[in-house]
This record gives sequence, C-alpha cells and structure tokens, in this order.
Amino acid sequence: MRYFLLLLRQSRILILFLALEGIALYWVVSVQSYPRAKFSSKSTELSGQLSEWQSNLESYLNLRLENEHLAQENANLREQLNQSLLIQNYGADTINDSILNQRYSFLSAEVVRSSHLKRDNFIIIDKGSRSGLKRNMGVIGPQGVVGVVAGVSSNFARVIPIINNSLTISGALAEEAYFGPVKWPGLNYRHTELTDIPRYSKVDSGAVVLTDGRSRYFPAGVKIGSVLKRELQADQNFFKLKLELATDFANLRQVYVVKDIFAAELDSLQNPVQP
Amino acid sequence: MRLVRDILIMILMVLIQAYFFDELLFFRYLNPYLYVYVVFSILIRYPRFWQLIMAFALGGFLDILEGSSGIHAGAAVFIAFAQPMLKGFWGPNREDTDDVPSLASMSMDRRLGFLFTAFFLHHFALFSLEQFGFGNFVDLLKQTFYSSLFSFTFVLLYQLWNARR
Repeated sequence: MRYFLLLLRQSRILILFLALEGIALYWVVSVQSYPRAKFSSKSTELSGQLSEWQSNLESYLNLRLENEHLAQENANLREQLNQSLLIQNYGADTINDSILNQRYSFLSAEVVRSSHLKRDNFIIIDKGSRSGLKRNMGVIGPQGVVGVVAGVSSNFARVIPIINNSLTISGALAEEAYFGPVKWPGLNYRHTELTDIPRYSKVDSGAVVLTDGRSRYFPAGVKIGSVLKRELQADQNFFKLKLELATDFANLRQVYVVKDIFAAELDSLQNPVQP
Repeated sequence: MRLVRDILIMILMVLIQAYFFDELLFFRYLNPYLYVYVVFSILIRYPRFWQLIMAFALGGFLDILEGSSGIHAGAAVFIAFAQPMLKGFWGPNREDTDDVPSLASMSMDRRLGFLFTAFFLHHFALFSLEQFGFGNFVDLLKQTFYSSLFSFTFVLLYQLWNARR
C-alpha cells in the first residue's frame, strides 16, 4: 500500500496529464463531429454572447456589401412574383389556388460567429429554440445554401456549414437533373466538390448546381454553386466536378433558417415504425 | 505579483490570438498559433503540476473564444507535458546549469531548433485533434509543416530582435 501511494505520488504528473487530455478529448468528441453531436448548449451560449458585440461592430462595417446582397435577392424574389409573370392561358381553365400549400417557412437570423479557415468550420446564429429552431433544419443565405442546424440553445444555434468535412448534401445540375453528393474536400472555403455525375452528362464549366428534393433540409432550387472544372473519377465512369460555392463564407451575415412544415411527415415515411 | 502579471500576459496573448492572429491568413488557410509561446517562456518557471493546469486553462480559454471545443486545450497540455523531453533532446550545453534549461539559457541554435520542433508537435496535435484522426496523413503533415513554419517565422523575428538588443 505504501509502495502504491509512493508510485502514485511519483507519477502524479503523468496522471494529471492523462486526466487533462481526457477532459479535452471528451470536449472534442462531444461537440465536434456532426453525426455524433451531443451538443453542449452552455458553451454555445457563452461563445455566442462573447461574439455578439464583436459581430455588431462588424455588421456596421459590412453594411454596404450586405445591402447589395439583399437588394439582389429582392430583385430575384420580385421576378417570381405574380406581377412579373405573364399569364398565357386565357379563360379556358380555372385557377385553383388551394392546390398550393405552404411547405417551407423562413426565419431570418444573423451570424454572430463563424469560421471558414478550419477543417471543421461552424457558424453560430442569433436565433435558438425560443424562435422554434430545431436540429436538422436547413440554413440558406442571400447567395445560396449555407448549412444545417446541428444544435440549439435557447437563444443561439450552431450551424454546420457545407464547408465542413462532416456534412454531405445532395446537389443536382440545373440543366440536366443528374444529382450527386456535395462534400467539401477541405482547404479552400470558396470551392467544393460534387461527385458521381455520370460520364455521359454534357456538363461543363459554368453549369449551375442547385439543391433538389433529395437535399432533404432545403427547398429545391437553391443555388449551391457553379462548376469550375470537371474531371473523371478514379472509376472512369463518373465525373467529379469542382464547384465554386455561391455563398461567400468569409462574408456572411444574414441567413434564413428553413422550416419544413412537412418534416415530420417525411420522417415518418423515411423511418417507418414497424406495426 | 509576478503571478498576476503572468496571468495577465497569458490572457492578453489569448485575446491577441483570437482577435488578431486568427484573422490573419496566409495562402488562404494558414494561421499562426503564437499563444503557445507562452508555455515555453512563462509557464516554464512554475512547478510541473501548475504548468499543466495553466496550459489547460490557456487552451481552454482560447477554445471558448473560438468555439473550437477542446482542441487547443488538448494541444497546449500536450506540448506543456512534452516540453522537458524535447529540451532533453535538444540537449543542455555547457553554459546550462538548470535541470530543465530555460529558453534564455539555451544557445541560439538549440533554442531555435527546440522552438521549431515544439511548434511542429503542437500544431500536429492541434490539427489531428481538429480533424479527429490521422486520415489524410499527407495533408495533415503538409498543413502542420507550413503552419508551424509560419508561426516559427514570427518567433524567429522576435528572437532575433531580442538577440540584437
């Protein structure tokens, strides 16, 4: 026993080292990876509070660019209004508006903290469970897709952006409807990759990549990016497309959280409860 | 009094790291992580037990500011623990009298060699914690090497400036 105590005393530095590394490792595992996310809402709340004042200051400095983006988005939306559409069908049919049910609702939020230079980037926004946010809701910005909500505290939410190694979403070509997984290869926050596009597709640089119905968290037709170059994958049957992201993560302030009103219904189909 | 001063310096260093160095970027994705220098210059004066605790606090504080969840804490504790062995590796030279040579008592070439390996090890621990694994090993080594070179350049400038005085 005495010997044991002596041993304990001699190796107390090693034990302390192992204990501290254990704590750090637990911290890493518990927060970092998206699928395993056991979200620590306290640290988000704290880091959100600390960043808010900084973000307030920066939002003044970026006001002009932000305005430009919003104005551009307004213009895009205006194009979709009924007033700017020409009705070419006179008289013959009745127009029954009730077939259009609201499926998505949008909630605007502001980015209070974000990173874009790391391998596992994340964003914190200033809306949380009080505003009805839940995990797995999509987040889009004025320019295109941003990411998916990974965890919420009462006033803030943590978003895993598409420039994070652990998030894969589905993207489709606007022209040809071929689709594949979009996954960030790392390093450059302006670029990402879309894989598994069949070789016989006529896609070339400049083609636009959008979300489609398979993207699950997002409405169809939100821009992901545009093709920079294509190359054959190792299996020689599919293209790997290098995309330039629509969203500039270095300059992102205003985002919209997408609430899918039919999410529960879709989930019940995807994971049916066995009778 | 000295303890208060040291803690203030550490807090300042973390704030500079979080709000200045993290905003710097080099070739689009390299950051210098200079706050570790505190471990070699300040923490070395304290007993081993407190070195580890303070290294954890240092890294943990930066983690909270950056929202990076534990990676800095882990890496800082690691380098604080490995420091004496590294110093042993770079060897005491004739002027050294301490058991664990402090930076000031090492000759310049040994000091720089020590600093570079220390930065390299710290960055390696940091990046492998960040990506949580060693997959993509070549990329990991590349990023570690360039980042530590980048951090080291800053420290080199500081050391040379000090040496001239």
